[in-house]
Amino acid sequence: MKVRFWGTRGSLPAPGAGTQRYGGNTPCVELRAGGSLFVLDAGSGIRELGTFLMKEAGGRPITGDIFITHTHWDHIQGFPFFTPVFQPGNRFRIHGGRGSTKAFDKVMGGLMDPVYFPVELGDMLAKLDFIEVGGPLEYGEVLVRSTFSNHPGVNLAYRFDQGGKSVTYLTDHEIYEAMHESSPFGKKQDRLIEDFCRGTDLLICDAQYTDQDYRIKRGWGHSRYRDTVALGLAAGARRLALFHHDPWRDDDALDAIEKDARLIAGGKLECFAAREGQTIDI
Amino acid sequence: MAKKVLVVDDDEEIVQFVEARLREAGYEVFTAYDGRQGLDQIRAHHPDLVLLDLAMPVMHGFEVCQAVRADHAFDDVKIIVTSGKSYAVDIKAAKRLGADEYVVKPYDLMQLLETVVQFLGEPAK
Ligand SMILES: [Zn+2]
Ligand SMILES: [Zn+2]
Repeated sequence: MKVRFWGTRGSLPAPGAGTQRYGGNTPCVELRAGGSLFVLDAGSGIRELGTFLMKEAGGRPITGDIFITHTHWDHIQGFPFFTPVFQPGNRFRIHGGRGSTKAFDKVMGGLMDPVYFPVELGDMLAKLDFIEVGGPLEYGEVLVRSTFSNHPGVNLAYRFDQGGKSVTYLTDHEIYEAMHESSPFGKKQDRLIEDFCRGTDLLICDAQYTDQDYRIKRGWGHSRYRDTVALGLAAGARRLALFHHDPWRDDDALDAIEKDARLIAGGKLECFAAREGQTIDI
Repeated sequence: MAKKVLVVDDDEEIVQFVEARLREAGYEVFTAYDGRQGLDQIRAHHPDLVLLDLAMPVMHGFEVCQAVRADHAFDDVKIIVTSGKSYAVDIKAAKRLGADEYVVKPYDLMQLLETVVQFLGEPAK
């Protein structure tokens, strides 16, 4: 399995001199497993991935599976700029949860309503299938599972297992216990999430907030990085990618978070702040 | 005749707990462990009230709510959403989809029973 980060920023793209090292694009992660292409979220980072895939394919058809965690802007805003979807012959299955009121394909189509965007979903020439995620799915050798995370609206986390290796993508998630102030209920919910991440080789997880942020932003649907590290440790993850960086956080601040996270992990878990362009072999 | 309550939650412990308490209070209780089962039970038993979790496998509680409210035969069914999610947007969404009440987990069992009584009246003993 191989992972490449195309966007690691949460909430809103944050380009500029202060975010050059960790990047300013919103969530998009490329995963190659069992000879297949998986794309996790379609934030603004997917634009560059599209360019890369077109070049790599050299005119041959591209097929892949795109997994959307939820349809907040930062996780879908790059989709209309993902050039492979305009190329006939290409084929993508786009997976996501049913929204609170509308079917998944309707929500994605709404993103390209003429009021917001000049090209409509129907104008995309690649073959696109929108799939509402139900139970586990098998793609050749790759098993994909999902669970609901704790975030406003309907939000999914995905786990990809292949040949004894795994990658778990849990972004936009607020640790229950932090939110519910140490209730047994919160603990139990967190335990279920831990089980979902159990023993994973790479956990890519929401770590948007510092302790200071959380005093104000409890109940906003994101986690303190210290809680994310605790989750990684409890789940027995091999590596932890701190993800969904706050748009107000510059590179130096992220360096400091990475350093502190490593301190908290105490050498029992390899953790790092995910950087745009970074690749990881699993 | 005893009023009918359906408990839908993928947390078996919660279902058993609530089921026992409601039975003891005098209600007729049905149970389901995912959204699809819940919807089937509603159609089969036409309960007076449904305690409905949101984040469940197979079918999300929002979808169950929507399906029930789309069928006028079930207009009289009260829906109380019970969820560990306390985000304002989820509470609003549930109400918009036709839920009569939204109770955030963890709830006090006595309080939940009071809410049920508010909707159904004291159970016939
Ligand atoms: Zn986000
Ligand atoms: Zn979000």
